[in-house]
Amino acid sequence: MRVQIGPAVFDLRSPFADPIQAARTLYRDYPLGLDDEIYDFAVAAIPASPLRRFLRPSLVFEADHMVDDIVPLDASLALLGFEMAINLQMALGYRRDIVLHAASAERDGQGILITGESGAGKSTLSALLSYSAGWRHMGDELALLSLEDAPHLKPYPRPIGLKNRSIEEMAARAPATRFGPRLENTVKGTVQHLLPPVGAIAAMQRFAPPALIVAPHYREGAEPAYYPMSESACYLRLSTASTNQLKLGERGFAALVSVVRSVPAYDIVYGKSEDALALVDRLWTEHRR
Amino acid sequence: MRFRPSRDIRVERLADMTLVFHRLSGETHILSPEAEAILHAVPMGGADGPAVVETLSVDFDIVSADSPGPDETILARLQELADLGILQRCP
Repeated sequence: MRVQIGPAVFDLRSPFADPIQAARTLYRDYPLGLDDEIYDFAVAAIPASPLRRFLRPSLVFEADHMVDDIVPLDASLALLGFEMAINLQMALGYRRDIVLHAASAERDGQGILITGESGAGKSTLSALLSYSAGWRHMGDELALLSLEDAPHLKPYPRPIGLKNRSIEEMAARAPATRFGPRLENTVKGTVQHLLPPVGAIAAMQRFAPPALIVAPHYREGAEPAYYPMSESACYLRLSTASTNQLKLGERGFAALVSVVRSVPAYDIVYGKSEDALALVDRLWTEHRR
Repeated sequence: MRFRPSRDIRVERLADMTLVFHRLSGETHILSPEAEAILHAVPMGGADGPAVVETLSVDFDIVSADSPGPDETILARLQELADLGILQRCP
């Protein structure tokens, strides 16, 4: 099956019907039926060994851009494997925009970029903004910045990968029909995908200039606080968070410098979702143009 | 030995950091404040080490913490910038 996510078309393949059917269900609101279109990346879920095809199937994922230390996955976790492999293709193989390990969203025609390490709270904050604060979801894992003097954020609105505590939190805020299957015992604990609202998927070709950068830091019990980020700290964060900027030549360099110079950036610390939303709202009110 | 800034660099000064993009290698370099001052002191027409030291002496009290004297330290930094392609040797 072929599915378009943001600017890229992925060809998902498997000798098994179940992983493809699971992907087809998860991506039901995305452009499908692209079998005659040129695709950007192919990802194949194949049996880990010939016997594994019949005995308790286990899958490995093959694609042009992979890392070495990926262990086979139980076939019941095929969606997780597809998600990981799709992200790797964008992170390591996509060259038309700066790819950042970050979330992004749009409101008032402008964008927020949410950067941070894995586990910092990007996906949760991204889901909260989308389902509780009226933002248009643009992506929870990878953000795309166009290679322009005044760069735009380009949507890459994949299903939001919620983990552990965040699953219960979002279950109270998003319709049950937007959740994918619950995937237990993954390396990150329990994972469940939350589909972005249909409108966010339909608008995945609508770009937004970034107006605010935040780096969330979830700390249990922490009082809400925010701290301005210096230009140098912001450059180092974004440069480190990018998987391809250093390969994009002068245009990549200029675009990143332009964003660092023109977009205010903050570290935000919070212990409750309501505090995170209030902090973002306060900074947004102050900085939107 | 004379040096001049490479024509293949793009220098961007952020509020508290100087970045140099080197077009030929595609590499981005982060300059220390000292290296940035040295680069700034090298004219487009080129200058030798002592001339760069003299230019820097106008704006800075030059003291070296290293065992060689300040002149040698600055010459070493010029050489490092040339090794990175940020400066070029010139006649």
